[in-house]
Amino acid sequence: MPDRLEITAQVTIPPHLIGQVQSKLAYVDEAIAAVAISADGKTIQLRLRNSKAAPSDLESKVQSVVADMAKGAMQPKVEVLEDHIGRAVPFSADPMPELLARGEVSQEHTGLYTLGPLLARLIAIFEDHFLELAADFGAQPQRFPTLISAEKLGRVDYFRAFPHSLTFATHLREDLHVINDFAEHAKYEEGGLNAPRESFSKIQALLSPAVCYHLYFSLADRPLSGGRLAATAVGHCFRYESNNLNTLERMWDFTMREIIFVGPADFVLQNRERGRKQMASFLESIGLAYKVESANDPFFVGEFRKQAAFQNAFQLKYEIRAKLPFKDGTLAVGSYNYHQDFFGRHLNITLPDGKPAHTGCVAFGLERLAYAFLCQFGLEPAAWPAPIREAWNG
Amino acid sequence: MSSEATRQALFEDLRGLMAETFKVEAAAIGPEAQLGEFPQWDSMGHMDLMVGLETRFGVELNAETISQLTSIPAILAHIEAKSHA
Repeated sequence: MPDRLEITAQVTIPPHLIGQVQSKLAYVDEAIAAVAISADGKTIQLRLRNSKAAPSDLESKVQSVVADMAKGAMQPKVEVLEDHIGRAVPFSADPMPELLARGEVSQEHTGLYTLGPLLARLIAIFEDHFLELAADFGAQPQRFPTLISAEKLGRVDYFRAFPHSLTFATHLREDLHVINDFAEHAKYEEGGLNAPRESFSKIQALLSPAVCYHLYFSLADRPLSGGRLAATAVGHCFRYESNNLNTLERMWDFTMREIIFVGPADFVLQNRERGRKQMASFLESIGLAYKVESANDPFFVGEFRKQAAFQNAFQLKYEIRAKLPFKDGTLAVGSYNYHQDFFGRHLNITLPDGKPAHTGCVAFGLERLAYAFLCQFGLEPAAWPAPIREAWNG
Repeated sequence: MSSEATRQALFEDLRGLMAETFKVEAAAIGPEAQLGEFPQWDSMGHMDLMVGLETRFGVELNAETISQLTSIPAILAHIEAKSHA
């Protein structure tokens, strides 16, 4: 089998979809090690790893994904709410080599990173700010589990929308022979544990892909007490990103702080907007180069076209995209989200008038925000903007 | 055909499309129905309806039509305006 394959797309991929199609093609086949799409959206290059996959089968799967995502795709309405992407920042190198060299970041496995004191303390400074922001909303603190119920995720159609990025939790079946056999023979080989699949239980839980879902699940099947609620929590989130896993930009296991709103539509929308404005003041105070623009969630292929178009049309999601000067790119470090009454209806969370509750959240990716900050201001605290430097020294 | 009769015929045609899209009885869809009024008319259902409107009535699929055509009166008005354009 060749180690490269070039495919001419039967449906030209429009410029606004090239990145999203490219990321989805990673899931097409285990033989694919890397994907590149030409700027005109007509040519797809695959780098392949050792595999028995037939090139014709690979091409067929690639064409199918491209057609599903690109055929008849609507041109999105891009709304930019804040634009400070051109703001001058003092640092322009890639901080990862130095972070790795100093032991401030170490990779435990693909997508899994240990952070040292520099990033841990920087994240704590951002967290202090987010907790103040949450307090302004009267958001009550919550603690959520790292695992999340498979039954509940199914109830909100998560498996249909994001099957590609799920991470499953399992355990050995309650069977003495299975457990003894595992204890005696288990070892990591050929890229995974060697235990037979039938040793493992049915999947009842997954590693949580988001923080706010836990709150909605806890409110399910009853009237919302008081008719409105603001809450905040931080938690680990897990999204398997295949070949797209990349340094601290795209981790398998990352941390999000969310401030979550549940209530009537106007309550949720007003708080989402208030959160955005308060965050804008903070980002201004530290001089971060960023923009806030409309976005869509990374729905899988079958759902992508319709769900992304719906999110875009109703402006349900905006992302804070921080500049990464070393690559002349941007990275989503936070988002402002409105789910309409999706969770209220699917989980039967009702308002005093009997109507389903609306939900929304403001969410911040803590590792990504810290990483983007280091990309713009470097690794020396003395060179950081005053509010962060003072908190660091404080 | 009077304009009232034309509008009624258009409503019946639209209601047929919606019944087919949402897999509900046409009689269950009232003249004022809107997005979210019954479980099948959710975000995915709405997008299925929009694709149906594109195919059946030539409605252009874009952010504006998706966000504005969220009720039967709005859809009827849009189709009528389009046919008079």
